[in-house]
Amino acid sequence: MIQMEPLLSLCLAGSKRQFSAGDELVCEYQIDAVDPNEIQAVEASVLWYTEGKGEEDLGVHFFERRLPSDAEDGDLRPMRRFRTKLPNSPLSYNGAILSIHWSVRLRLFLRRGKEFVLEQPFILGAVPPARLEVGEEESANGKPADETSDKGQSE
Amino acid sequence: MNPFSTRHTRPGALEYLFPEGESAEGLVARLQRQNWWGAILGPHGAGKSTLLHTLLPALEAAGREAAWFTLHPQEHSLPLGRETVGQWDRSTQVIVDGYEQLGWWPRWRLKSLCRRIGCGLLVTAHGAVDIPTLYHVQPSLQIAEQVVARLLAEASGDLAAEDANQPRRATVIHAADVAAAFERQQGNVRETLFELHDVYRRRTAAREPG
Amino acid sequence: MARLFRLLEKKRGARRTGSNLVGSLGEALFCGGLFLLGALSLSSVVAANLRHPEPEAYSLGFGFWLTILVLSSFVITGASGLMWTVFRIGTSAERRTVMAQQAARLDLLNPAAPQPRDYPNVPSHEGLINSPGTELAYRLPPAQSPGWRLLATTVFALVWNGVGCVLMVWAIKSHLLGRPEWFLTVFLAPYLCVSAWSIHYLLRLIWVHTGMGPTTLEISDHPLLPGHEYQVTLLQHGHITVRSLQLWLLCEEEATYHQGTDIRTELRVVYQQRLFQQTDFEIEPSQPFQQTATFTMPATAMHSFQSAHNAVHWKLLVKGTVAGWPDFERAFALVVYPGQATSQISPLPSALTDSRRPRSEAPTRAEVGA
Repeated sequence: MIQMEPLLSLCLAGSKRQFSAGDELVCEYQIDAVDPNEIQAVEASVLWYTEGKGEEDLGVHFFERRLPSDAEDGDLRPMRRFRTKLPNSPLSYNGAILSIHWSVRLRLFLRRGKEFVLEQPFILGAVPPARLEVGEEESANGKPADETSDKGQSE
Repeated sequence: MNPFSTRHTRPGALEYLFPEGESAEGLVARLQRQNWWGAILGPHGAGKSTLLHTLLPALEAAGREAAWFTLHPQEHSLPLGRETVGQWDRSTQVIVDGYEQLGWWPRWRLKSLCRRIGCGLLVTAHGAVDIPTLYHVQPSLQIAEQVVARLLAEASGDLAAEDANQPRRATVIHAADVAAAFERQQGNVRETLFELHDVYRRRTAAREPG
Repeated sequence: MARLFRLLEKKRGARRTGSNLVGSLGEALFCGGLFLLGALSLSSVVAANLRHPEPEAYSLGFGFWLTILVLSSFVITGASGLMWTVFRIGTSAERRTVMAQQAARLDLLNPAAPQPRDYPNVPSHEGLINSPGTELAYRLPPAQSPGWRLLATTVFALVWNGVGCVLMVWAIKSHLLGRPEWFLTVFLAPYLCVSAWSIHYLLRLIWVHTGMGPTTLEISDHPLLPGHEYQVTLLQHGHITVRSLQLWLLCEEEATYHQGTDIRTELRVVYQQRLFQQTDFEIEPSQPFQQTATFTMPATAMHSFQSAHNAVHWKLLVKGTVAGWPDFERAFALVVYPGQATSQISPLPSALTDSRRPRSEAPTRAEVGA
């Protein structure tokens, strides 16, 4: 007997992948190809995590866990929409040894301990990638405010 | 994503690549012949912790229940209270990652407890300890190349087509990069992977538009 | 030379005519000497009474206990005085009441200043704005204080030398009484070498930290916002000949990894800007070096970030090369909040093809989970 895996669908409304701080993030998700009685719970979260040369850190901005009792007719499969206002920080970042990624994560819990996960990454903010070769930046106005420094040479 | 970031290289995320003739099952069988007592030895960054994680499923398949302890720097004792030890029995496999950091009294107490209860004891250490050696982890350039090939293949989603025993000539990381990093890091595989993280980052950044 | 050995000094406004270096060293030597005198004498009295109690000389009466009390006070006074001297090194004695009120008024006038709770994982800046400056709004605390190293060295020197005094008295007594303790005598040789080294090291540390003088940095506003302009004033105290003094604005990433049984922390500078540099000049105790610079935070700067194992730090770094002293670096932490240019995405013209434009959404299959 061939057993099909559940089909999870997750999309960000407006087809956007990049958001400003304070924007409203609207997500829709839907579950198919699974018996509603098999579903124990569904969790939807909006989170950030670090990646790079350090331990992974994780921060959850939005979290929602739904049980069959929370849904009409006990069926968690129909399309569900949730919205959240994105925070001011941390912004998505592509650094030299550390990166910060934002993502919407959908986790489906079935009976007998099975779990299925779907992620949809997005970008928060517009921080440019870090420079990997760091020279001395031009100090365009990094100059002494007081030009009357009285000893020695001044840069 | 950088295939050399810690989420891909940490113990447990990466399978230990055994040399020819060795396997997790073989090591577990050897451990059983030693009454489930053994020490995995090797220098820093050789893959001892990775090997422990790789052995775990084989240990569980052999009917062992793992009781895992990881010792970090400045930690010289184990939390061996009644609640913890009370759950141990003859099928328990006590695993201590960083055994040499234990002081003589915690070591004596741990071994004494394990002998009294009859449970197994599997430890990692950088040098010989007072427990029979199970396995020596020896880093080699060949192993490092295989690890890198596996990481790059996973990153490109190409693992099914990858023969892990044949190092792959990736377009971003080349065999010469692996060899140079391995030599600079004096055989420390973990530091080799950290160095390749920077190489990968530099080269992919150079390829990004704008 | 006369100034170094002046017994009386005049206070002229905020300046003193004596040498801060000599003063601190002298204080340390006096307290250390008092401690050693007390420890040696106390050891001698106690040892004599314990080993060869002579009721005629050391009757356990009022006189004995008074002696013990006096000598103990020498020990306590000497030790605490030495530690107090060490504590005071690097701190300023200036009055800040008026400036504190001024800084508080500035904050009240700016209700729109971002509150830390609105910026998750941006470090709090409260610890950086609780000290008003004398030239600008805030005085930044140094990232690392030399106090702990000095304190640890002082405690070690006190304890080691205290024990050494007791042992030395014991050994000398044994020789004088004709029953030499040779093992103790031989053991004392390396012990006293360590004692001498600990005293030398402690005096050297005091000399370095007193001679170099504290570095103070003040800033016109805090926290920082990208794209905004700020003033920073550097004050360097001491009695030194400076070859080069630089002030840098730095951004540094920090990543900590628990790998197996090791903890590995890596730092990487991703931005640096030199704000000013001064070369070949003298700093006198009566006239600290002062320089003010203006800089603009880069508009696209990544904000400060702190999580359990990873961080993005901004800091001001003072680098100095001084004749006759080791090179020094003193860092002052900053907090940078997200700016307009990085928080808000700019709408792209539809004609542009940009790799960041979102792909069309399509339902995606689930990954096989855990």
